[in-house]
Amino acid sequence: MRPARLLAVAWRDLRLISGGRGWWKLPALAAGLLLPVGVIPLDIPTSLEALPARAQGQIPESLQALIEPSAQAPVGFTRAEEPTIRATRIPLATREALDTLPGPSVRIEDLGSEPELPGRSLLVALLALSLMTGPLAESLAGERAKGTLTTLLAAGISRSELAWGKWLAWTGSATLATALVAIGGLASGSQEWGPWPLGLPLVAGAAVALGLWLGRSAADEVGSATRTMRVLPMAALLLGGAAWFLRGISPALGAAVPLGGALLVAGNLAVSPVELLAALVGNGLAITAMLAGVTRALDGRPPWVDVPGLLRDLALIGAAALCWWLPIIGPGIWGIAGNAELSASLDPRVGLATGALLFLGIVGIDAARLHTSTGLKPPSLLGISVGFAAGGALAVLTQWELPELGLASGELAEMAQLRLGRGVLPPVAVFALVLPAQELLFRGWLQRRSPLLALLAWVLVCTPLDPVTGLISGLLLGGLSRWKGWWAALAAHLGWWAVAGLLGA
Amino acid sequence: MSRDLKALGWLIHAQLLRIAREGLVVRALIWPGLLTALTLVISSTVVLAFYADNELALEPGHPELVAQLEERGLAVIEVPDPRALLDREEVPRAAYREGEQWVLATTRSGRLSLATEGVLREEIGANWKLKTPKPGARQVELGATLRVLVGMLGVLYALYGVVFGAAALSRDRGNGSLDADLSLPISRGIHALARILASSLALGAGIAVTLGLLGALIGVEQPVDWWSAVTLAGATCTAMGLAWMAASPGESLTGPLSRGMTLSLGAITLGFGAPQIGRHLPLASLGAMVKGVPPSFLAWVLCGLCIAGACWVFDRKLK
Repeated sequence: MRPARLLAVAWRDLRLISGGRGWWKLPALAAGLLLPVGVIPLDIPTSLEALPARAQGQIPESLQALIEPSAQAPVGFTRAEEPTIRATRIPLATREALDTLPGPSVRIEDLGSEPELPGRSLLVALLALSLMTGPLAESLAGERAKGTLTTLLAAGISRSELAWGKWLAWTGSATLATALVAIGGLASGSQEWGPWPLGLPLVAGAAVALGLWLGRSAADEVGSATRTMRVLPMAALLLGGAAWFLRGISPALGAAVPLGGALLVAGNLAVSPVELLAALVGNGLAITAMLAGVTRALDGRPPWVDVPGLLRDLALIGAAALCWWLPIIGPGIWGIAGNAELSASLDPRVGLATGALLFLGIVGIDAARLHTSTGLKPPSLLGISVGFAAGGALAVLTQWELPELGLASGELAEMAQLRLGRGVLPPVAVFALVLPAQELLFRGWLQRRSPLLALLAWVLVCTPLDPVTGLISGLLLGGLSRWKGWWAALAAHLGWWAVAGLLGA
Repeated sequence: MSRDLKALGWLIHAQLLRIAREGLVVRALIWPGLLTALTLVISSTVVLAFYADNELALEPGHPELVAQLEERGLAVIEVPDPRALLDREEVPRAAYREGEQWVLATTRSGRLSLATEGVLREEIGANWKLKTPKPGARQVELGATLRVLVGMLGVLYALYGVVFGAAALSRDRGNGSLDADLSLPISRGIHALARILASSLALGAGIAVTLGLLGALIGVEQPVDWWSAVTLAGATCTAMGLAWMAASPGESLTGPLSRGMTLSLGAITLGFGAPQIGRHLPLASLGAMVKGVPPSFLAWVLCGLCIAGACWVFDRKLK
C-alpha cells in the first residue's frame, strides 16, 4: 500500500462528501452535539450505588430531608405513617436514609459485584459513531449508485488502497472531532485524565470499518444507510455487552472483543496496559479483516463463505418457522419461567394474526422483488369443488384428530394447541387470513421454487409433531395445487378445516 | 386533477415496489421487530437457565417464615450454618440471626432477594416494610419498560423515514432516474407526495408487524396509538428528509441526513420531556407516547402541513 495514494483517496472522499457550499454544516452539527456532551461539567454518578436517595409517593416527614421526591425512582412509598415501600431495586443511598428510622432492621450484606458505570466519554464515542451513518452510506454505495466507483476502480490505485483510503478519511475525521472534545473535556475539568482518549480512535476505526463492510455490496445510499442504521447500533450494543460480560471472566478477553473492547476503553472501563494492548490487537485484526472483505467485494470476487443452495433453502424454512412460531408459541416462555398468568393474559389472536401477516409479507415482498406476480391462476369451479371434497375426505381419513391450522396433537403441543385452537380467531378470519396465508406461502410461493421444498417446509413448519399427517396433507394439497391451481389447494384446506371442525364437534 | 390523482396512485405503487425490491430495505423494515422478539425469547431462556436460582439457606426453627418464603417463590434449604453454604457458593442467598438482628447475605440482588427481605422485615416488625410484586401479576414497571422498548424501535422506524426521504432522492438524482420521473406531465408536488405516502405506508406496515410480534409475545398496551405515533413520525421524517435534500442542491447526502436525524431525535426527546405539549406535534408525539400519552388530532393536522410544506419545497427548490 502506498501512503500517498491512501491519502489521496481519503482527501477525495472527504471533499466529495463534506465539500461544496455546505461544507461547514456537518462539522457544525458534530460540534453542536459533541461539545455539550463532552465539555460541560455535569454531576454524573460513577456507579449505580452512587445514585442519590430518591423515592416516589408520599415520603414520611422524618425522611423528607434525606430523600428527594422523583417520579422516576425505583422506590415508592405506599404508606407514609408506617413506612412501607414498594421497590424493584433499592439504591444504597435510599437504604441508608430508610435505616435512619428508629426500630429493628434487617442487615443486608450484598456480596455481589456492583457494576461500574462507564464514563461520559463513551457517550461522546457513541454520538460520533451515530454521525458516521451518512458518510458511510455515501462513501461506497453512493459512489456505486452514481457510477463514480467504476472510474475509481479503473484508476491507478489498488482495491485495498481504495478501501483503506476511505476508512482513513472517516476514521481520521471522527478521531479529530472526538479528540477536540476530549481536549475540551480535560481542559474544562469535566472529565478526568485516563486512558479513555485512546479508545476514541479505536471506536471510530472499528465502527467505520464495520460500516464500510456492511455497505460493501449495497447498490445505493438507501440500502447502505438502512443497513448501517440497523446493524451498527445493534452491533455496538451486542459487542459492548459481550465485552462487558467477558471482562468478568478475563479483562484482557473482554478488551479484545472488536468494537466492544474499544467501547470499554472509551468508557474508561478498561484501563490496564494489558487491556489496552488487547483492545488494540483485537480491533486491529477486526478492522483488517473487515477491510479485506471490502477489498474482496470491490474486486467482484465472491465472499469467502458462499452459502450453498441447500443451506439457503434450509434458512428459508427456518425463517418461515420463525415467523409462524415466534408470535404463536413465544408467549409460552413466561409460563416456563413460572409466570403462567402472564402467558395466559397475552391475546393469542394477535400471535395468530401476526404469524399469518408475516407469511403474507414473505410472499408479497418476494413477488415484488422477483418482478413476478404471486402466480395465482383464475379459480375454476371444478378445482374448487374437487379441492373442497378432497379436504373433507382428508379430515375423515385422519379421523378428525387433526389439530386446527395444521399442528399435531401431543404433550409438547398442548400450549400451542391452546393458542392455535379453533376458537382463537373467528372462522371468517381463519378463512380470510390464516389459511390463505399458509396456502400462499407453501403452495403458491414455495411450490413454484421447488415442490419438494414446499412439502418439506410444510411438514417442518406447520406439522412438526405429526410428520405423517403433514406428509399426507402436503402431498394432497401440493398435488391439487399443481393440477388445478392454488385455489383448489385453498379450497381443500378450507374443507379440511371445516369438516374436521364439524366432525370434532 | 384526476390525472394527478391517478398518477399519484401509480407513483405510490411504483415507489412501494421499489422499496419491496430492495432486499436491504425490506430487511431493515422487518428485522428490528423479528430480532427484538427473538432476542426477548432468547434472553428469557438464558435468564431462566442461568439466573433463576431461587434457593435460600435459612437457619432452622422458623416454619412460618419458610411457608411465607415458599409462597414468594423461594426454595428454602434449612441448615444450621446458612452463611457457610453461601460462602461455598452453593446458594445465592442466606438468612440467619446475629443476636436479635436478622442478616440477609446475598450474592445476587433482584426480585427474590427483595422478597426475602420483605418477609424478614414483616416478621420482625422492622422500622420500614418492603412490598415486592408477587410473581404472576403483570407489573407496572413492565409497562414503562415496554414503552421504552417500543419507543426505541419507533425511533428507528422514524429515522428510516429520513433515509427514505433524503437518501432515495439523493440516489435518484445521482443515477438520473429523478429526471425521468420529473419528465411526466404532472405537478412536481405529486412526486413528492407519492414518495412520502409510499414511505409512510412501508413504515406503517413495518411497525404494525413489529407491534404484532411484541404484542403477541409480551403484550403492548395502546397498539393503535403506537402505530399512529410511529407512522406520523415516519411520515414527518420522510417529509423533512425529502425537503432538506431538495433544498440543498449543492450538498451531498451526508449533511441533510445528519441534520434530519439530529432534528428528529431532538423533537422526539422534546416530546418525551414534555408529553402534554409533545402529543400535539407530529415528531414529538412519538416521545410523548413513550410516556403513555397518545398523539392528538392536531398532530395529524401538523403532519399534513409538514407534508404539504415538503411538497412545496420539492416543487419550488428542486433543481
